[in-house]
Amino acid sequence: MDFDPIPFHLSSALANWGKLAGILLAIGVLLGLVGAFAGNGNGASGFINGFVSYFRELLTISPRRVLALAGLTWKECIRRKALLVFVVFAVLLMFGGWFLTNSNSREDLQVSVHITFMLTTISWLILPVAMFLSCWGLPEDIRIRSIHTVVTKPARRAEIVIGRMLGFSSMIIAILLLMGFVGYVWIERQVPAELKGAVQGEDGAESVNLLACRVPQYGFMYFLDRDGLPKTTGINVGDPWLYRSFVEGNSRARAVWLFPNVEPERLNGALRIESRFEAFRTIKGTEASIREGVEAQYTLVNDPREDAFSSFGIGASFREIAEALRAGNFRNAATLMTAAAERMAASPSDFPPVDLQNVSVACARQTVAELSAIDGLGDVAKAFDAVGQAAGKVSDPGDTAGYQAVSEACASLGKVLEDHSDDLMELMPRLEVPLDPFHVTEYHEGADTHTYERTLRYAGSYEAVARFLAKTISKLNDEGKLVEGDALSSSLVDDLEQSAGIAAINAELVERVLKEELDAGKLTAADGKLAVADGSRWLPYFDQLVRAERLISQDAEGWMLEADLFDDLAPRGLLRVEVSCLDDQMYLGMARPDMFIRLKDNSFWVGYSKALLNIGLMLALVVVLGVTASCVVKGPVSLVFTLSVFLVGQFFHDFMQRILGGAEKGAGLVESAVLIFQHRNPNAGVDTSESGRQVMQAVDTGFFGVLRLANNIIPDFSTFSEAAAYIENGFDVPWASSVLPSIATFVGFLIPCIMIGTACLKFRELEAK
Amino acid sequence: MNKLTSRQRKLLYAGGILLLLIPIVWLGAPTAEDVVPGTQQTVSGGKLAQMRVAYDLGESKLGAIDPSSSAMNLVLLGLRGPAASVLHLKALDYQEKKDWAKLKTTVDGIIRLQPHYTEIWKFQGWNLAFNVSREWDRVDDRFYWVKEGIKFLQLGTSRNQTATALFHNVGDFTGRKFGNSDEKKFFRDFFISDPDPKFSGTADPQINPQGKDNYLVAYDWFKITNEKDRAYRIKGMTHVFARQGPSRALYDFARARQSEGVFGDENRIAWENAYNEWTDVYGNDVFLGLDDIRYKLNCSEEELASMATENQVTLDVQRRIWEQNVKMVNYRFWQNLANCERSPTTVDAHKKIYDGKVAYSRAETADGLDDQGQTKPSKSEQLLFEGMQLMEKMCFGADPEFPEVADHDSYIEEALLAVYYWKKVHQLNLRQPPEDYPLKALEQKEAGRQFDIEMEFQREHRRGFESP
Repeated sequence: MDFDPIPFHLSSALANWGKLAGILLAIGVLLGLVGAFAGNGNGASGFINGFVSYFRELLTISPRRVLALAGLTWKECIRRKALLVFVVFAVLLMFGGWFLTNSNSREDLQVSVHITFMLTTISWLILPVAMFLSCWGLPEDIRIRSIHTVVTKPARRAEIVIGRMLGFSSMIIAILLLMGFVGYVWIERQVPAELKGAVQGEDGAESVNLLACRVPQYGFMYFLDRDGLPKTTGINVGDPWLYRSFVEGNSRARAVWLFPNVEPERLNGALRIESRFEAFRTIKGTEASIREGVEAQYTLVNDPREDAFSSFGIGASFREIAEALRAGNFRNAATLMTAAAERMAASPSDFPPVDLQNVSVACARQTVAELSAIDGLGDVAKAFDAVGQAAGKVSDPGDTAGYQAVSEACASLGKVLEDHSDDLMELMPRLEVPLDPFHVTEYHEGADTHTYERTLRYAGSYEAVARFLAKTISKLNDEGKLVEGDALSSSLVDDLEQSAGIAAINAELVERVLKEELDAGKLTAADGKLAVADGSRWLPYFDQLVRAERLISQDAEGWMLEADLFDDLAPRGLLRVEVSCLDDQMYLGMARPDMFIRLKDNSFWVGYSKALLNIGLMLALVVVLGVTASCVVKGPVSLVFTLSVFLVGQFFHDFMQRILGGAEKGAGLVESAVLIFQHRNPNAGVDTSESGRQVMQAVDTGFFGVLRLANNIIPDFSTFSEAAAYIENGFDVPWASSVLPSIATFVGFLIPCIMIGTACLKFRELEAK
Repeated sequence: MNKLTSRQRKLLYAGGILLLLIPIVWLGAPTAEDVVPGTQQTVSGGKLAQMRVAYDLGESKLGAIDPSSSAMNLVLLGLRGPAASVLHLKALDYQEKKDWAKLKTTVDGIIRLQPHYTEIWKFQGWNLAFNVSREWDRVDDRFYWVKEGIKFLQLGTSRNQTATALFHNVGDFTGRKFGNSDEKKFFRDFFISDPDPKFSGTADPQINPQGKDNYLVAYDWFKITNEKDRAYRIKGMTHVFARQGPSRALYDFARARQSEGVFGDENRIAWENAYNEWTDVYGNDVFLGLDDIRYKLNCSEEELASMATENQVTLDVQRRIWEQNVKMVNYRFWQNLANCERSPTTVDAHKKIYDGKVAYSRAETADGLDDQGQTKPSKSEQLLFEGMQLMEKMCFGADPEFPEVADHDSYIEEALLAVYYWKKVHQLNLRQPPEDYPLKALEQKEAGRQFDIEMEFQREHRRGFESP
């Protein structure tokens, strides 16, 4: 499955629609004027009268008369045997099995085939009915003059148009609902119970429910390359389908997802992650790997340093400083910043203006905002802001005064970093919780779903262990449980075990190391409290002890720590998940929708009914187009018009957009024709003079204008059919990226169509010629 | 104005109908009896029915008729070709986008439209078994798609009884894909005990109804292929090669069992069967050579003379044709190989060497002491030494049982590798090998292969050995 759900922006769509509707209205008015002056000679008064009566009709529509006309339309539909479509439907349902059964003996693959079959059958069966009825209705009434029995009654033309649209649409929707219901029962019966999660296995666990509608919460994604540097894509392994990008196994390469709105209430207190990665092997691998698949691992990360400083080093001259900041080596960063300030004053050419501009953007968009959000780092934020402000003003390599100002700001920042290094270290912790590795199951929807409880146990890194011990010792110290007289408390080991949950063997290790430090005079015990002799804080003290490997876990499990999913890892609701491949010389392929947080599933009928709603909107739009066309031309012409619009909108809209967006390779119409004639490819270009090329391109610009117009006035029917892809693949149909655009598309075309239809019916002669 | 009365007009219409019925019946009358495909050359019935049988055009003659296929073709009127082309394009797109369920359904749609287009069956069968299967990572998934490819071809054979190549392909895939892939260890196991829980640890009955080894199932399909070939000659393959299928499947079976550590009588009998199939069945098959001269591979001088007479050519011409083909299929080499392998000496030699290597891999390499307190060679050394002696007796010694296979690469490598292992055991015990030992002459003669042997030793050591 390759869809990438992108939310629909209603406001920008409305603005576009307003522009287009305005243009169409203007054209309509212009045509009216031309008609008034060129027609019966009434001129301005004729135009004004027509204009006023037209809008009065539109604004005084009677729902009662519209409903009566819709009722008449229903009767007409029944008289024309539209309901015979059910016979075809029944035949297809009876014999559909011939085409579907045994096509895939694996039942999980069958589910999507059944759903696809049903939705395709429903939409493609009703579609011709909708087209024929809507396109032939009015012209036939006009031909046999039965329209005269309507228009001679107090029914307005707008009411006739709306009544027709409503009648045909409601008839089509009724057929759709009935077929949808039968289809639902058919799908339910076709899918075996064990694939609907109703059967319990030997282990008591429920089987996977392939008929559930998963509700995904997607995130934002980027990659880290093998050196740990951010990249927008991973490695290309040569797959012609460029949907997925790959991360290298057994390296620092990662795919990083950022999930917003990670809150306990939304997630029911636990995190359920689902993924569908693709494996790529450069070697056969071990037998275990062949049997079980490539191994992957999630790591949950809360890293305010990454959030604050990842963009700071985009310019090469600040990269080293950014690396030190990201690694939490703030003293080093301070030294490097001071050195950079001095170098900038002495040799500004080492710092190209583009690097300063990048620093300015990073400070403005990322660093200052992130630091300001942390209590106690206001001064640091201000210092970064000053650097950003000064750097943003330098755009010329010869701007000595500007460089001088940046240099001074950097020197000041270096000083602030030096002064606040302990605060920064304490307030910007990097927390990394590696979760249990798992073997990737390719192409089995929903198989790689893992649920993690709120409290996570993990083997701590150096930094995490140092923070944990600093916090624990500080707490015991505050409670007066650390020292007895001038020695360590005799119950320290028990206290460490009980209050902090440290394994006995590690508690003994901590006690032993603290005792050695006390004996060596690096710690002092006075007034019932323990303190670092040189006055430094506990965190840097333990950081140095851990990095000196004096506190290596004696427990085989390592330093097992606990982290809270929401409070520790996503304190502001933003969860960062890094995915790595653990096997050497193997690769994992991923795209943004390949991993998501799975919220509570909806039942199948929810997604199914949304897909039906989309089909209904599509059919109603076909009716609207058909009725509009039939207001002005005869049945066959109207049918050809509606069919053409539908085919272009369904199958070529995306193609048009790709041409207009430049994604499709090739030149314009005339240029392409000449290229074909000359047997040359687009890269070589047309073999002609410069003026010849300019002429061709000028003509092509006209064609592109026509294409742009067609792209804007032909509805994108694939918007409606995309909903089916969601439930075929076991997902709920998302409101924002599927249902809303469908509704907006329908309404967006309905209003102008009513206006055009009414105008055409009002100003034409109701006689068949 | 029409001057005929209503009755006259009706009679005229009836006469016209009867008149038209005559050519229709003459042309379109069906066959008077049920015709079993391939059993008759002529039939009674209408002209078209007779021509269908004469030119093998009748759909019923080609194989089982799929009603949905006929229905689909009827519904599409004349648009079968464009519809099939669209489906082909969609199949390619689904494959590129890894939508396997839709790919399979689309392929099923294509074959409904073109059920007798053999190349589609061949191409998509291959595609599913080889291309799609390798897109999946886990071995049980790969196995599933290889099966899908083979099942697809099996369906092709039932719809196309005259397409002998499809039968050959089923045999080929069943033997080669399961037996030669990187995952062959798993595939061969899964072929007998399917990983899909619905088969409860037994074989998938659709591809292996009797739960046999994959090579033996391939053998059955190749046998059917040869039977079919007699009625509908295989296309696109050299005939004398196409008929090798059954015997080569038996060779592969015997060799696969050997590599899995199965020796003794079971393996000897497997080689015996392979030998008999090669010499008695394949060797006695009659083929058409250049200028349609008939020959058989297993031919004595008398038979050669008699066939020359039969073919109305000189003995020299007959001999030349025969020798060309014997050489082309390497007939004698395979005959000698199976002949050697079916001997108890050879089976013993393989077993001793294999067991010696297994003992080496289990570190059974340390010297011990016997009851008299004398140094007793380790189990590994003992077995390898015995294996080396048997190899010498088999083909590398002064008076070997099978001198004709002495230049066979796999024997030379096996012998040299045994010596290499044997020397390694000495090295581990800090001993020099004795001055003289079996296969020493071969070792000196093939000194250039030493590097390859060392590499093979490393490979085997990493890979480990199967426990029979």
